[in-house]
Amino acid sequence: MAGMNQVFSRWPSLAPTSRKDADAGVERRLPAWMRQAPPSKRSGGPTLSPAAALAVLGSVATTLGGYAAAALSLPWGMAFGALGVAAAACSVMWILRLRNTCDLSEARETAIFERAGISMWREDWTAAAKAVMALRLAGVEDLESHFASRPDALRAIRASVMIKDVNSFTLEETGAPSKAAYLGSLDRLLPDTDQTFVQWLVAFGRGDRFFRSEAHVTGADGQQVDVLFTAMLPTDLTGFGDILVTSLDITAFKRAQAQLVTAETQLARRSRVATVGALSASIAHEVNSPLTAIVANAQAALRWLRRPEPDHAEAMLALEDVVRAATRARDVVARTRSFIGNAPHAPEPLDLVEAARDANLLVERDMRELGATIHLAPEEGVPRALADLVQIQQVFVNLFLNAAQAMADVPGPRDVSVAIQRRGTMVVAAVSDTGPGIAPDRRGTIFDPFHSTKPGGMGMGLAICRNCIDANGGDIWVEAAPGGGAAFHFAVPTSDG
Amino acid sequence: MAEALPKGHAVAIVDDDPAIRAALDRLTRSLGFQPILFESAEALLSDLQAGVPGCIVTDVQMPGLGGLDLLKVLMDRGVRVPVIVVTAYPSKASHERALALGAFAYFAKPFEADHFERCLLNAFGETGTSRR
Repeated sequence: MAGMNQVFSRWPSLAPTSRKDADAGVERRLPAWMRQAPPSKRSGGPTLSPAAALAVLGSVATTLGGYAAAALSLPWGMAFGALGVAAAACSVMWILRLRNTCDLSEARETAIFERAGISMWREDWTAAAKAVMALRLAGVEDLESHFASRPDALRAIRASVMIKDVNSFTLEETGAPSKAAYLGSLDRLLPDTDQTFVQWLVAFGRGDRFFRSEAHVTGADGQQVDVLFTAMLPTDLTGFGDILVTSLDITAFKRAQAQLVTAETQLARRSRVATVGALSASIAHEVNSPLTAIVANAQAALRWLRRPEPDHAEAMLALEDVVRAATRARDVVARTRSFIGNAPHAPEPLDLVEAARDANLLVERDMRELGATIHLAPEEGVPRALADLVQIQQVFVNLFLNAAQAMADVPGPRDVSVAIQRRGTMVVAAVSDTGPGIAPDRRGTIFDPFHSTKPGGMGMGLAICRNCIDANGGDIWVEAAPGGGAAFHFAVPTSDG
Repeated sequence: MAEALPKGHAVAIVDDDPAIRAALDRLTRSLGFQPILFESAEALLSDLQAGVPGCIVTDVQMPGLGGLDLLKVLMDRGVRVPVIVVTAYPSKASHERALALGAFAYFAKPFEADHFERCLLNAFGETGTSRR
């Protein structure tokens, strides 16, 4: 699958997240942390605990003491004895000092954690790592697709991730009263609409060295904030018990970014409205002129014929002009169509999965507001399609928004699933929702312009979709989704065939 | 054809579109009025010395002087004649402007012959004396 090595994030990433040696052949192999034999002794982590250090050093001291006692029987025993005692004393002091050092290093570690000017979380991902390992061992390669069709399993794993500790800065930054507000399942912090969680599992399954992704979390005070999570990923299974995650509050940044996007969108919309306005004015003028001639001539013809002595010659001339004007009107319509049809269209080999992912990013905010989540489940090895990227993205955006809006009244999880697969010489994408669905008698007309069921809707969304797909030599249709909702399908030709 | 009527009984039709000019010519005649055709407002204005028509039907959007410009010139010159303004692109603004400039009527193309007939009759302020 393309984009395999990319993190699901728009955050500028300078370094690759996985090793470069992960070529196609090696990629299928299990990541190192899964192949690592589990350590025999139950130690908390890579740092040696002071107690363990003391035990090891204690035995060294005893041995030294033994040598010292043996030396006492030699002539220079006294001297050696003194030396031995001194050595023993030294080693005890050394041990004590080392113990202090260990305490110190732990204290320092705690101090760094607590005093750092960035939010840090210690999280236990053991259960999630085990689940990922089990899936990889069972031969599941594409975790994203796997979980896309099993949203409930994903939610269960999410609930198993435990936040063990957060640092002082986290409390400082969010104004949370105590650490207790954060401790416990990650589930409480990630809203149901979160789409980034699965990327953690993807990164685990791929053996990435670090993870970086934006997420939208519910803070301890119930406020929703945007954060950038970063973490070095463990190299063995035990490491998953204690992942240190830094979290950067990027809410203000995201808000500014969103405002910029809104401003740009509004500008684009306004200029589009202005263009449509100018176009419709010109069409109105171009079409109304021949229509005026048609109506005037036809009425004149009627009047000539209705006279007590009908004037057939005048009526004939009038009717000939009716035909001439009608032909002119037809030409205006044909010209307008070809003018609009000539919109820039650049078919190129493109990855529908990537197009869907980009479209997902475009509607991220709308999805969140509508409480919907998009699950992408492409089939393995879907070929590239030959189509215009912008048009395909437009189709995805419209279908995603429609799907989410259709589920606005659905309680519980609002899942939009996107399946992408090959069918003969076409690539077919299906966007399914769990909304009320489309009645069979409306499925034929739903793509007509001005066909809207939404209050305030223009009824142009699906008509635009059909236009885009037609322009790419494809087909668009709607079926009933297995769950009873609507499943919008579109097919575009593959680039190879 | 019947005898020519004095120009005061004629309907001047000003439109740059030959097809519409021909159609309005035919319709006006079928209604019993006598049309005189002009392809521009300028052409009509230069013909005014020869006599003022009984009514003017003018398009709004034309190259050179438009229908509303024509209204203004007639007003400035003190020529009092009912002017029917027709347009393929009606707007509130141009409607208001036309009425402010003393237009007798304003309507959108395409229009009903009956409506047009009533307008002409009202413009002449009588019932049929200009008709043959």
